[in-house]
Parts: sequence; C-alpha cells; structure tokens
Amino acid sequence: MSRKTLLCRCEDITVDDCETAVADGYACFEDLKRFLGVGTGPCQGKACVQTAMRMLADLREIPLDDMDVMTFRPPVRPIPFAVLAAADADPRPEPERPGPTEGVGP
Amino acid sequence: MPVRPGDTLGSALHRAGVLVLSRSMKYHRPRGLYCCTGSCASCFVDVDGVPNVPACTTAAAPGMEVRSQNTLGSARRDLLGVVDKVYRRGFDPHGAFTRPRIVNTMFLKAVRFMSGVGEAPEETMAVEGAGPQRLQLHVHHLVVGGGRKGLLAAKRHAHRGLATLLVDEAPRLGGSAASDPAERDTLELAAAAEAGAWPAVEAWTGTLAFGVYGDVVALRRGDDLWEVRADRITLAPGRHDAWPLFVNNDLPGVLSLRGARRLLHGHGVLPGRAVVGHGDPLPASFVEALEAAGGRVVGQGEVTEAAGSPVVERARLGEAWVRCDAIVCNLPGTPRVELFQQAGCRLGFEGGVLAPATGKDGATSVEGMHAAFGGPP
Repeated sequence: MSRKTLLCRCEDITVDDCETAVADGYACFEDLKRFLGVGTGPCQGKACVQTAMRMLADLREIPLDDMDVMTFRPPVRPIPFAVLAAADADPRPEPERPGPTEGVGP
Repeated sequence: MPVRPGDTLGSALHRAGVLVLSRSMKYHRPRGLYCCTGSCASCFVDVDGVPNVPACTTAAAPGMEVRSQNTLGSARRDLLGVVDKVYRRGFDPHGAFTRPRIVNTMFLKAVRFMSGVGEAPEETMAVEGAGPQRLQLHVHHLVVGGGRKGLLAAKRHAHRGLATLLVDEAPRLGGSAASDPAERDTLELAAAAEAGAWPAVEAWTGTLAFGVYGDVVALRRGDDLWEVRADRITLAPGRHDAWPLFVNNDLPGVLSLRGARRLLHGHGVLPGRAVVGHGDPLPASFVEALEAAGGRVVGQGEVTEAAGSPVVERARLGEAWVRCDAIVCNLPGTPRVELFQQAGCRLGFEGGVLAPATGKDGATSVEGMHAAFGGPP
C-alpha cells in the first residue's frame, strides 16, 4: 500500500487529485465531477460529494452557498434492470390488498 | 463458512476474520466494510454471478457462492495491487499513453482488463416467474424511512386518521435503533408498527424508494415496481455516514461508528480487538459493549494516518503510532438529500452540510412534501 488519502473510494480519487484539479482551474463542482469522476461511482456520491464540495469551497475560498450542487439521479441504489423494465408494462392500477389505504385515493 | 441467524454477508465474513472483500477499481487497493448501511459501496462482492452486491446489507444464505471482485489472485493478495505501488503519487489518466496509436490501443486494452467494478455475467440471466410487475397506488400519506423520525411521523398522522403507508428498505423497521442502546424507545415504536398496533398505518419493509419522478415515488418491493402517489409525503431517509480524511483512510478495518455498532450490537461481531476512535469521542455505550465483547479502545482523537497491509494495523494519533485492528470514525453524518432533490425541493447548507430547506413542521419548498430528520446519529 502506498500512502494515499482517498476522497472517493469508488473511483480511487485522492485529495491530491482534487487539489491539482482545482489548481488547474476546475472551479465548480460539475467541472470537478466531469474531470475527476467524483460522485459518479457506484455510491453515486453518498460518501464523497459533501466532503468534496467543502474541500472545493475551502480551496477556492468561497462560501458553500455559492457552490453548485450535483444532481443526484435515480435510482438511489443499484437495482436490477428488470425492475425498471417493468415501467413499460401495463400497470395494475388497483392491486388487491387489504390495509388502511383501501378505498382511499382519487 | 458458518452463518448465524440474521447475518449479512458482511457480518459473517467479518466474524470469520475476512476483512478484505474486494479491490478498488483503479489502484486495486483493498476494500471492505465501512458504513454497513448499503450506502458507501466499498463492500461489493459477486454473489452467484451477480456483480456489485453490497455485502453489508445482503442476508447470508446457505449455498451462496460469494466471490471477490476486481482481483487477480485473491482479494487479500491481489497481483494487480502493484498498480498502487507503481503509481505511488497517483496516476492521472488524462492525456496518458495517448500516442502513438499502437501504445494507446495497448493501454486501453490493459486498462479495461485491470480496472472496473465487477464483471457482468456473460449470459443473460433468466427472470423467474412472470417477472417484475408494475403496480400503481394512491395513498393519503406516504412515509419513506422507518427509522425514529419516520415512525413518529406515521404514528402522529395515523392518530389523526390519515391512512399512511410506511416504507423502509431494511428487513426490519427501526433504522439503526437495533444497534444503538440510546434508541430503545424507537425499537418500541418499530415493534408497534410491525405488529399493526396503529390501524391506519401499513408498513412495508424490504421496500426501497429508489426515485421520485414527478409526483410519483418509485418503489422496488421484492422485484416489483410500485408507482405511488400520495396527498402528503414525508421523507425521513436519515443520514449517510461521513467519510474521514486521513492517509490510508480506505483500509479495511476503518469503520463508521454506525457500521461498527451494527456489527457489534446487531450481529454480535467484534469490530476489532484494539480499537482507535477517530473524530468525536466514542459513546460510552459503545465502549462498554465493546469491552463486554472482548475488545477495548486503545486510543482516541484525530487520526492523521493509518497503516497496515492489507488491513489496519496501526493508527497515528498526533506523533504517536498506536497498534490497532480497527479505526472507528465518529463523524457527523450528512442528510440523505437524493429524493428531496429529485422531487424538486430546494436544498441549502446548514452548518456546513447540504440539507433540504424546511419551514414549519418540516415543510419543504414543494407542497405536500415534508422532511423529518433527527439529530446527528
């Protein structure tokens, strides 16, 4: 193991990578995401994005409120394609099921 | 490998002393458990040919064939780990090996062999039965998240007669309460909801709200797709565990406090015999339970470096190196904002963390959409 401080474990992006990118002029979060891949790995930014945003704001000496926020697209966890493919099927609008929701709705 | 009732793949493997589950995609650094909530994606394994299965939240079952990912050899001794040593200062792929063309072609082939996350099955996997169904439902009140705040929201509105559907991705309600002695009352709420003690509340466990599309919340329940509309939505998704920043912060054996608690309280697995605490002081309840299980805390403070191969063996606290086999990080978590953002809720920074902007009673900027967050875990 060499000495590395990982900012993003999914994509093996180090704190050094981030600092170099900011020094090279990648100035907003979307730039950083496209250049380094931070937030694009299997965790989809859950572990790293907020840390990366704070680091970027610190390095650029700007308030966090001026930072652009990454778009977190669905699905929030990996799911099988088959589940998404079901969206193409005809829906079953009134499933037979007991419970408190029975008889309510539009 | 022996498995106890309630075990996940991660807890069974940790108990058996298997901390290195796979390797990372670029430098082939060892990877293992961290958050134990299915969020950090560092514990992926291949199960029965399906890649990228989180070991920490997948129930262990007899006969499962579990393999490491991204290794040449074994996860513990991965021959491609040499990449990490060769590129000691990191490897910047931008513009590297781009010419002449023959070198570029060879480089791309090599990269595709060496990097990546998991291996897709070569053959199409058959879908069992009729395959996933698409179902639609309209409810008065949908609560996403069965932790303390979600349970309280469901209970409060059910008592007002508002029919409520409560969903949580875990097999049991309660969020992290089962592994936190300070949350006994949450366990009582969870037991009440699971037993149907609140007539207006129906609870679905094992149900992931994976996205918000317009006014539809998409659920994966079993392998079915449920499209749910609701007059009122309460999102109580909890927090992600923050990631520490010290040298070799990614070594297996570095765990979030919640991850360590889930192993210890949830599965009876000792996170480590000699534990170093990083960040805020480790709670007394955790230290007591650790000691009762045969472990102890050997140091606490701000860890600046971890060392060991392929798992944690030492932690640096100030000028001193402390021998340990686990580093437990007690850092403030960050609110899970994904569903809020997809629903169009305005987000803002509160005390340095990104969170949905809320008004009275957790109302977000989207009408009918409410947020419920507790204090930091």
